[in-house]
Amino acid sequence: MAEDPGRRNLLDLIGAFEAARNGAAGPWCDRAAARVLAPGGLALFHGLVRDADMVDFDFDDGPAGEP
Amino acid sequence: MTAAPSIQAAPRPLAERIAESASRFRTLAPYPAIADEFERSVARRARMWAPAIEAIAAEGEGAGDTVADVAASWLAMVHLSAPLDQILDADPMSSQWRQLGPIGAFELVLSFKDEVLAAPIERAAGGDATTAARAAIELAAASLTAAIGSYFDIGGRLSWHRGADPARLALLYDRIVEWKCGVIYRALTECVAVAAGVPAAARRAFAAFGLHTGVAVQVLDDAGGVFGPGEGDLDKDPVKITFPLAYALNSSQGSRAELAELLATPRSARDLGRVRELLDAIDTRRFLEYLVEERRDRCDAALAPVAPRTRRSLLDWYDDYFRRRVPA
Repeated sequence: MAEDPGRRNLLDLIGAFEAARNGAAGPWCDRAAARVLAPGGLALFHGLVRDADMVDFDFDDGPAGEP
Repeated sequence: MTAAPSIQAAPRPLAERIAESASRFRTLAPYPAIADEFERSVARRARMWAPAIEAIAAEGEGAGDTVADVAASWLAMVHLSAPLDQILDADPMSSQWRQLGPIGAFELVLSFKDEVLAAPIERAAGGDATTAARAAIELAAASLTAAIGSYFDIGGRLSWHRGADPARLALLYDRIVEWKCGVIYRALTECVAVAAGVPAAARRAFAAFGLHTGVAVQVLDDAGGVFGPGEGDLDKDPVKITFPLAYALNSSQGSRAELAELLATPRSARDLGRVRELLDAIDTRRFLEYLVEERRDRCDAALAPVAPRTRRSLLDWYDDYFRRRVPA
């Protein structure tokens, strides 16, 4: 896979998230951080992580995912 | 004399056609419990993926038989990767796979792989065979890349230990996830686009959509590994780096040194409650959600210029998929 010269690596993203968490205004990729840090954010985890539905959380469930 | 009006049956839903295509594979037939498990898995996943596959195919000639066949082969390849992962990671397996033993399971998976890669070509008629062959090459190439990526994963290079460099491990993991997971999902969107005759520029955008979706799937998988019930990634000895740990070990906030020591402690003495407290103290769940959202923005950026009509459908599907609002 060819390297995308503009790609943001995981350390860049950690830095961007932390900056947003500390209230800093940032580049465009911080928009995503602002969404999840906003009150009512974390939609992905609502009702999933601490919920019985987490049993089905693994999207790669295959043969182990017996009904 | 006028010709009788033709009566056209309503097209069958794509999810059904994918499941029907998968039901024609024969390798698993001698193992009824495994075949049944496969059938249920494919039916469920076909329902989840059909809206995205249809949206991509609509940028070309639509979701015809070859699209259904390559999608069935892709679902089979994803399904058969599970027992390999479970053997290599010593994760729980269903009893029917356990009965085969590791070597028997590997041999069955390898035979099945041969069948599903060849199936779209063997089933295609005339000129469709060339298209199906190109789609099958995408599948095969992705499988090879994923196998190489998995080699890094299982070779111990991501293991956490005292003195390990968290930044180096985070960067390595970042790449491995694209190699072993992103490419698998990219293969689906790319081979569907190939099979539907989607123009090259849009095909590249759909490939990017698949790649980013695949990485986000791994983020969700990693979230379950740390915050989910039962044994997970924190129970392994040694602990392997995943997205939540890469974040916490590289965060400028929180108690990095304490976490690093806890994770290097043998499982029997590792305080998992304290590990999760430290992760929660620095909003690790929000960081994982951020990764999923940030990949969505990358999908948007790839799709907007070349597939504006399909962009909305795919982003809506992405939101539904990651919030489990898709039919399962």
